[in-house]
Amino acid sequence: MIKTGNFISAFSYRLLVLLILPLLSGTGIVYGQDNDFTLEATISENKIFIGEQFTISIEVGGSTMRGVSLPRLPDIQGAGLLSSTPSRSTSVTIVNGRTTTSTTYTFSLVAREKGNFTVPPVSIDIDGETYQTNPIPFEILERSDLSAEDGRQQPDIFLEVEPDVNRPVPGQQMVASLVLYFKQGIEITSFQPSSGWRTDGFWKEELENVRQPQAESVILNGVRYRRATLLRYALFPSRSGELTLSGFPLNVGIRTQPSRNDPFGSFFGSGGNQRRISIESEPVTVNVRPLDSPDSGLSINAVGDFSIERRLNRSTVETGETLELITTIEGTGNIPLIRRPEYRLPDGFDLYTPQETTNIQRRGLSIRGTKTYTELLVPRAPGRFSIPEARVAYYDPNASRYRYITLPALSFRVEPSTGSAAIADGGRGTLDLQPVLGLAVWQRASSKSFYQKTYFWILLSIPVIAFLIGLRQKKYHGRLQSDRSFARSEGAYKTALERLQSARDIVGKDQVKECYNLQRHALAGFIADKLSLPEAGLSDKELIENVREATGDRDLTRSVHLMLEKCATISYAPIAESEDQLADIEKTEQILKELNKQLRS
Amino acid sequence: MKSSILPVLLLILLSPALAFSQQARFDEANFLLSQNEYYQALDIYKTIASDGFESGALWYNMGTIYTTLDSLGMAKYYFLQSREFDETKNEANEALQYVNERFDRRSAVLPQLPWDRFFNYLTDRVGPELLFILAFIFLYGGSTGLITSWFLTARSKWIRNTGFIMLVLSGLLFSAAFYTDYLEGRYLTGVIIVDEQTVYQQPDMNAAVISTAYEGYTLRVDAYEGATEEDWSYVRLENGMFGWIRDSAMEVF
Repeated sequence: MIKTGNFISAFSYRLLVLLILPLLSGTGIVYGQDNDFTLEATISENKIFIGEQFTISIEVGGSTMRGVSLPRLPDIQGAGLLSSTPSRSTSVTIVNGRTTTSTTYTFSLVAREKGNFTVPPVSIDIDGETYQTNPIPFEILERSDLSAEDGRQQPDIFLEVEPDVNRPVPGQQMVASLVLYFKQGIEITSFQPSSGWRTDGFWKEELENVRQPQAESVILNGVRYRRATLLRYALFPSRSGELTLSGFPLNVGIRTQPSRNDPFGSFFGSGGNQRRISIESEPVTVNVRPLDSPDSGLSINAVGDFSIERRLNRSTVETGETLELITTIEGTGNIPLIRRPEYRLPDGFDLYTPQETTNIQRRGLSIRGTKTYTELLVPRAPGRFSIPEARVAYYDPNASRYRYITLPALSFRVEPSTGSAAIADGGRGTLDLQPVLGLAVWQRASSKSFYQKTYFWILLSIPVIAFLIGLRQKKYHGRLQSDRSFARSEGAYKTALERLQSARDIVGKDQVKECYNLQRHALAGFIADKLSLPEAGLSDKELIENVREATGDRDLTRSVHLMLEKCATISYAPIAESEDQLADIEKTEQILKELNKQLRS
Repeated sequence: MKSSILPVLLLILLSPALAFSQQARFDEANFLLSQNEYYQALDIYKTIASDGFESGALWYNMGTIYTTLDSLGMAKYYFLQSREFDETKNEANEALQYVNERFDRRSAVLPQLPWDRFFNYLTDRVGPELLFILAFIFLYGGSTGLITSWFLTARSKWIRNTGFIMLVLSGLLFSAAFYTDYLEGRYLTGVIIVDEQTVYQQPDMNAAVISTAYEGYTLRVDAYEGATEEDWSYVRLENGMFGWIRDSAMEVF
């Protein structure tokens, strides 16, 4: 890079404004507004070894200058002036009838002392006015400090591809500069890239480069090289991981007659020891970081800084007509790699292949441009429709995060097409489908099978239960008919109760003996029937003994004994009252109940 | 017990109101339909269906809208459902014929085996519910006859034989009902609703291609076989080929 000193004069505000331009652009040219001239100071190197020569050039250019004095170079610390009289060169150019004269004064110096120094402002008189340049910093180095930096012997001329981003994410733009290094004494007359530079995994776009590469001085491993950026490419990684840029092949025309001041000055020149060589840069590996998907929103694979807009070409359309949904994405970044946002569109539309237009500007160090997607929608039915709001995400590599742009909902109306009211279909017939209006027969949609419902199993269990009951009854009746003992046992209680009822019926009819005889008959008959004993011929003692064995209940046995004894001895007792008879019948009935209960189990 | 009775009582009391609610919404949708507001009408129809109510008119009207919107696959899907209801059977058949004629591609149809045809008839025309009801009638009649014959002496043999025959018939009807219900649960009807969809040999987009199903193709969907694969269904095409298809490509009922 050439350091320049600027013209300083406290003259007019307007002049100061004009000074800002060269400062920003780095050319170092000073424009004299009133006198139409430029003043430029340059130093040949800004890093110089002790004992090395260097030059400071003061260039005055303009069309209306009349008197220009020799520049007055003050003492420069750390360096010695080889000659107090500068060499002078003048060039005259005539463009469109306008003559411009440029005079360059060159002072030769030698570096003497190690350190950081400054070229002080240089004064010069132009048309009677004194102007000064800005100070220019420079550094003087000792050769021994840098000689053992790497230990690698660099060739006299070599090429490098230098990416400006170390760890990009997929889609992020990086600038790969093709930089040529060559030693002092080599002059580059021409260069021509060869085919074969592979950039697998990258989308590549050549940037519009400056016409004339500028060389600057650098020191590599203690050796002074000239460094010139020849070409620049914008590269966009398409995936994550380690991606390799292959060696860049380049044909270079060189001349080994050094022109210290302008190595590219002989592009169109000839003569000297000229030859043509082919060189290739070392492959470069780029580690591309993975990029997570956005948390929300539509991902369109955009990385950079963008603005996104969406619109419809009309708000009312007829069925069958085409409606255009236009999305415009504008900004800096991977414009060509951006995908179409997949909007959620309402049903009932025929969608045709979207149109895509891309406009890319490659000026400067970034890719700018506009990408437009035009989606063609053809509505099939009238109605009011709305394309819902959409949130689109793009990745901002500077902020290292996703940014979101919300596209508002778009509403439009579709009118029926004139003359298309009926459902018709060319030659395949027509049908007037009329909806069913009025009352509908509703039913509940059921996912349950019939057999999974409760009432199915209730209905199924009823006949099963009926079968079981019927079988039991059938068996019971069969036994009643075939098994006499069982029949006696089953009918014992009923028979006993009937006999007791007979006894109850004759109470108060002066048939006391008969009453007690019936009670005994009821009790004894019940015991005999239940225990399958002979119906007649059993003594009371035998009956009581059987009851005791069958029940094991001493109280009950005793009650039976007492009642049987009472029935047997009633002939010798005083005539009993009716109440006593009824009480005894009740008592007998209680005994029967208890016996029935115990003998059942 | 109380807690289970209360919701049942409420349901019984509110049933007419709920049905009325469906009818009111149905009328509203019909009005929108008459105003050519197809999508709004469709939204209401879908709400009714999602609430668990269905009717022939509902499916038929939805099919009508989709026919108008030129979504013939969807139209066929709804007309096929509408055909299941007596009140719209004729109209649905007519509409289906019309819709089928408008499809650009039609599948070759392999005739069904008599066995399949018989059970398809039972499934489509009779249904497992009716078979179960008939089976119960015979079961009750047979049980009554058999039990009665045990206790009656007069004509007991005739009654017993009749009861036995009825029980045998009941058993056959139960078997048919269960099998029909199994078929209904296992095999569903699917209709392709996208322009075209590839049928694969395996539930994998990279698997071998069996065939291509086009809009309006009717498929027999095996719910049991496809239950293990998410987003995929195992289907039998009308031409007898089997394969796997994406769920999103069809509607199933």
